[in-house]
Amino acid sequence: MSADEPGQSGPIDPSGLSVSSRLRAEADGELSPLDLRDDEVQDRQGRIAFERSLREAVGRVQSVETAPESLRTRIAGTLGVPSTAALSERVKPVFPREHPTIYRERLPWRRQLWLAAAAAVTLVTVLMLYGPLRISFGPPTFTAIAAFTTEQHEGCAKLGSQFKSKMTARTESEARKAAIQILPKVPSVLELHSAELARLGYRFAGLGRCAVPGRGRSAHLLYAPDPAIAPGAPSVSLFVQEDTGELAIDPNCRYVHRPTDPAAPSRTTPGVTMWRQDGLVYYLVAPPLPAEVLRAFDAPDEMRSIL
Amino acid sequence: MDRAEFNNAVIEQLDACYRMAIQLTRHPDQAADLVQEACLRAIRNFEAHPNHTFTEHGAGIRAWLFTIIHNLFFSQTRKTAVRSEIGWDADSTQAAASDTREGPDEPPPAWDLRTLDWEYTDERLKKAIDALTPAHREVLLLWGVEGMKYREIAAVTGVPIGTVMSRLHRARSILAESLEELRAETGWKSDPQGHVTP
Repeated sequence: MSADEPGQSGPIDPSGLSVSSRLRAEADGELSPLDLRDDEVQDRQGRIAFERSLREAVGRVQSVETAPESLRTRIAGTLGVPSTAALSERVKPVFPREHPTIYRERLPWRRQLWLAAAAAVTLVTVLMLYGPLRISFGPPTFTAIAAFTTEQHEGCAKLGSQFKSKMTARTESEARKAAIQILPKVPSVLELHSAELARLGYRFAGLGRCAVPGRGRSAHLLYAPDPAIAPGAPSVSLFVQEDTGELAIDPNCRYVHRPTDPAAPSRTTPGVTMWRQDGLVYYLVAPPLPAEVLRAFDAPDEMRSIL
Repeated sequence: MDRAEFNNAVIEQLDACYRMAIQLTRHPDQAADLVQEACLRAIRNFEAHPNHTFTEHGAGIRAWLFTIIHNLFFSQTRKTAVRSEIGWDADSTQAAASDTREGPDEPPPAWDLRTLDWEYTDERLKKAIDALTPAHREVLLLWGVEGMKYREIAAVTGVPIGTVMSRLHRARSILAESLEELRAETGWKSDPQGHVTP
């Protein structure tokens, strides 16, 4: 099917796009970063970051309206159902407005933190693209996915402004409603394993829409450690993406990619574990976890490493 | 899906449908009428085809309802003089044809949008979005709020994926331009790395 047919579902051909269109498609998770030539534009990451923050802002601005009660009553009449509690239980806006003054004050340490995070992300990306972390199988998009998910995890795990602006669902009940808006189904971890994860010391912290590279829609779930059960444990991110069949991986295995830098403390450095299951692809960004925690996330027992 | 499940699914999507309708009509009463008419069409369609799976648009019943709202709005607009009142001067076919032109290939800005005050940013964005055509507001909504992929937006709006990208490209360029103006007005400057300081 050609790209000119309405509703075509094939991958986007980047060769016919302008540089700015490719940048925007990449920011939207529609392309692999490898589809963009490095020498085409300076400060690519800054421009992509701008586009992603613009998308967040557009989401905030356009999501403020909710259906008025009069319309709910009319629709209840149209559907032939009584105006029950189901009608009055409003679905919250996808992007509830955050505190408007959150960015008003620029603190010096925030800038330094931002620079340090940017440097770390750049280093990880370079290592994944050209260095010892380069993967040896499948489509090249996994390097982009690993870099992207690690960056997003590190940004949100601080529970700061990025977390607040991205994680629009803060309870598991909200998360189930939000997940079905984003994904074809609710991830099993939200349906079945919350109590088990809580027992193991991981509390649900938030869920937000994400743009994991690839054609499938995606969401980001963050789990924070419970200091009473797992003091000092790091946060864990689970990215869930609609499985469009782009990644040819065995559904019975989990694939683990972990940085091999000997200078990095391996027990705390996050790696990316990937598996597919029931129409969804999962990317777990976390340091090495006990087997029972992995099972609570529904990761297959059999493991393969990505070199 | 039985009728009760269908009713619940429609009710759950009411806010999303109203957001879509308000972006198209910019008028609360017209938006409510549009949503009600879309629900009526959906019920008739469901009753005629109770085994309908709502999966042909890739995002279930929500995308299906969006498609009905889109088709209703643009067919009504073609039939009435509303299009002149809302400043939409081309039908969807012409718009699709013209939207395949992207204009100058200006790359996006590289400064961090989140360094601007959200109150000012949102107010400026709202004005810029209000000034767009319904077709551009629609793709922005599906992209920015509903988080749809290009292929899903193309399925809902019934245009080629290239047209979706062009409309998004144009709308985003306009929004970026208005934010650049805001940044200039408020005296924020960026260094060569794109970090903004007052």
